[in-house]
Amino acid sequence: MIALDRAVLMEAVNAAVNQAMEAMFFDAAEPVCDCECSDGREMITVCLWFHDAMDGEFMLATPVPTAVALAASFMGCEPHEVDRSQAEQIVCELANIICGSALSSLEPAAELRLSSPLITPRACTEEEGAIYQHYRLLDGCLAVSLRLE
Amino acid sequence: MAYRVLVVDDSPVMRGFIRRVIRLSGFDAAECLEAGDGEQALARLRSEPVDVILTDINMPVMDGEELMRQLSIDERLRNIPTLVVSTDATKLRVDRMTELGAQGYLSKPFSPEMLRSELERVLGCAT
Repeated sequence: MIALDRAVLMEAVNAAVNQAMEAMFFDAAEPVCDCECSDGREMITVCLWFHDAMDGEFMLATPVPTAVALAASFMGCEPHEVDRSQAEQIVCELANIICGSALSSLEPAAELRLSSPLITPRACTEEEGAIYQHYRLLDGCLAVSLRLE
Repeated sequence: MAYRVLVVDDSPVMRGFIRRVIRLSGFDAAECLEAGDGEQALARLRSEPVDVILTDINMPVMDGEELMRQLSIDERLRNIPTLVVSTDATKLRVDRMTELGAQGYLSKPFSPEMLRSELERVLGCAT
């Protein structure tokens, strides 16, 4: 990826995160340099792959308490009513929405194929050639990475 | 007029979210039925009348594209307005679903206001 590609990609991901949080989670997302995502807390991490117009991998990670808060907001219930499975499903949905929205905006005229999001034991970390960003939410934080092949 | 809505999505949490957003938006829904894939949707539609269908595309068993094809060849179901709700906002996909008979296309993320507006537009087209 050249420098311009990274900037365009980053802008698309930032916009997708913001739109998803505002429209569907009634939250706000501010890009930050670092957050609790890198503090060794228990995380829910989701991975999905995309093909055709662009090939690559998208990952999203969030601490369990943030996932529970997001799930409660999404489902319209109290955090104590959310179980782990529901929190994981919501993080999968969020990853799917952000990745689909970002890639659709980058290549609106092309074919886009996304895999189903999967919970992964892998860590979402900064890697060579990938864009990586932390976001501060109203009640927690999340991190995303997007790597083009 | 209160409308009967069928929400087709393989994710139970997304179906629940759409039901909640329909309620939050103030859209006049008498009832929100649910189906987890296209096959379940067809079974429900053949036993219970609905006014509008909201469907995802990527689903197991029968996806949204095949559901649209099946609706189009069923005389009793082909005139039910269908609104596609998907993360895929590419022109190619929107055009393909429109060719298959979708009257509306809402890409995620969407707000309650966007959903209501699109539902009302689609139902307005149908009258």
